[in-house]
Amino acid sequence: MPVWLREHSWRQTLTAVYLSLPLRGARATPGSIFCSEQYLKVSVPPFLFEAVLYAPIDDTNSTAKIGNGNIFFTLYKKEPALWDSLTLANTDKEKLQNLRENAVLKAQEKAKEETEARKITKQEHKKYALEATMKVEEAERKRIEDLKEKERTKVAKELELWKKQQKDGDKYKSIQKKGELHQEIEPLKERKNEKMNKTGIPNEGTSKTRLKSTKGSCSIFSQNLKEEQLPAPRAAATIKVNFTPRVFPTALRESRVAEEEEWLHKQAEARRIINSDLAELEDLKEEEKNPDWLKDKGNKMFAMGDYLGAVNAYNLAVRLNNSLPLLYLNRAACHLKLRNLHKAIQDSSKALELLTPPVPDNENARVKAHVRRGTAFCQLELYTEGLEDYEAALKIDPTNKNIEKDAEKIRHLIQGTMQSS
Amino acid sequence: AAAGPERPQVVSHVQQALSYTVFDCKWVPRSARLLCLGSAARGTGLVQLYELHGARLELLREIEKPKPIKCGTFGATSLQQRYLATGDFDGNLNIWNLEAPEIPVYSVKGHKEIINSIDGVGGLGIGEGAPEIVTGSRDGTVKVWDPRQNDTPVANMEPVQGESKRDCWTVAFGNAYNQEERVVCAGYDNGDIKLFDLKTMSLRWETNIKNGVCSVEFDRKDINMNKLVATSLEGKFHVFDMRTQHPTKGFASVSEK
Repeated sequence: MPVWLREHSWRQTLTAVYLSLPLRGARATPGSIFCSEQYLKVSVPPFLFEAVLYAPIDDTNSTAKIGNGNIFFTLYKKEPALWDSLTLANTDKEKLQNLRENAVLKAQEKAKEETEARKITKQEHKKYALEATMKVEEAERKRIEDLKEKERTKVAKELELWKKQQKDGDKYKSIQKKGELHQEIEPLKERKNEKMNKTGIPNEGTSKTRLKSTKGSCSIFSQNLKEEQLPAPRAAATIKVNFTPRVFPTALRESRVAEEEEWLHKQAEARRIINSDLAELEDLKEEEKNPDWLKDKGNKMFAMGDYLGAVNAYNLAVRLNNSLPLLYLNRAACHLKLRNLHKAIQDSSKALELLTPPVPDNENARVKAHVRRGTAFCQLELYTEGLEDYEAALKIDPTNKNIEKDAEKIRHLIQGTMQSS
Repeated sequence: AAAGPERPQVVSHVQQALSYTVFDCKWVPRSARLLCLGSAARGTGLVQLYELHGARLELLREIEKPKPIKCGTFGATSLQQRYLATGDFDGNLNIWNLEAPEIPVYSVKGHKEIINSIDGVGGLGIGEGAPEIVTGSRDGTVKVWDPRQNDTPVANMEPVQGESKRDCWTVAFGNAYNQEERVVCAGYDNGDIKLFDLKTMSLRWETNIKNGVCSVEFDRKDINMNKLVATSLEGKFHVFDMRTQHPTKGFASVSEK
């Protein structure tokens, strides 16, 4: 049962009520105050204070100050009037209950409304911020565009001006040339007249050609002068060049170097293998050098029961290509039949090694490898290792009944030997 | 992304769509005209002369040649003549007078395969010395030509007998600060950069930048060798400082991707 706090004191003005509530040493937090329009509750366990107010107050603007061992409320009245007392006198239990419930509901609704309003304002703020940044960026872009446009028109104008100048300059030059020509002709004419006077023979024709030739020789002469200023063509020579060696005809790219190295490496490997066995393989036909063909041959011989022949075929295939797991797998089977148990174990192990990325694709192969190795172990009476392999096979392929049966048998065998020893 | 005010802005003045493959384009010196060299759809060479008029390009002249043209330069002609030197897909080096383009002023079948790159020096009033043209071809040779000497190159950088050839992708002249000195830099598809000294007719320096060399250029070809930029495949470029040559390590460089 909570302890009711009764020792409150209050005073009022026309618009506000000031309520002071001592807390008797207990500490209050903002969460312990619950206030709605006409209902005020303070709950600081084990103390409890509640009041149904005389008239409604504006609970959003009212404040509560917590400190010094008491809470000081400043409640703003909704209607300015003087209250007869702080609380309503005659409040029965039911009314109180209803009031409480309503107050709680109202408070909840208010809280919801507040969160919604906050969300909306946040969105609006974001939108505003976005628009502002867009405007700023737009302004910047426009400024740059304007600069560019200004530059463009300026350069275009300069170009036109320059072109005009060139044209005028050319015109001026041609006028000048004509002027010079006239000047040249004048003294020549004078000389011609003199000559004519001297010799008395009209030599207009020759004078004309002389005119032309002098003019022509003028220009040739100037050109000759220029050419003499240039050195003679170089003495021909050849420089021999060596290139950084490169196998591929394509251009060198750093990003491709790794791939190229790999490719070359593989080519070198293949060539080495083919070359190393060259002496013995000379009398073999072309197809007999193909590891796949040899594998098929081996399979056929195994099916027919010629285990030694199959082993030979697989041996040759392995020599040509030592990275095909199926070859080792099948050779292991042959060895099992031939009771070369150690060799069978070796080959199935090698096959498993080559089947290292354990993907669904090589499940079958791996199951077979495990089974064969397990069988070999069992025949060597190494039952625990054999069981390990059978269990591994079961793990890969849990549905195979044969493997399960064999695994059971081995377990019994192990238990039997353990019991007996 | 908005470009900040610090980044240089590229201002595009004119854009023109072309209906053929353009391999090279060059400004005609001292004019507002430019040339586009390339290959038309039917496998013939095309030279188009445009003039810049305000905001558009006007096609002044179109010249068709039997073989597609890969590269061209004005580097070795005088300012008055402004002859264009071109290399085409067949290995022919031609020098054309654009006023009368039917017959070339100079023509030689310089290489057995396509001429990938061409450069000229000694013309346009820049630098001193004889005008020379260098061509680099897919047949692995780099040849230097003098337009006054027909048919034979004045320098030939070819692979040693029996050596398998690498395509030469780019050539550039440099160090032409007086009449005697000249240097040719060549870049190859296997990442080799070779510097040939034409005064001593020898290989002055070579290096390998691990990626095919797309283009080499000196900062200025008419001064003492200063900086050489080499761009390569995979978006890398190297800048070499050509002012001091270390006897074994060659030239210092920085590179960036």
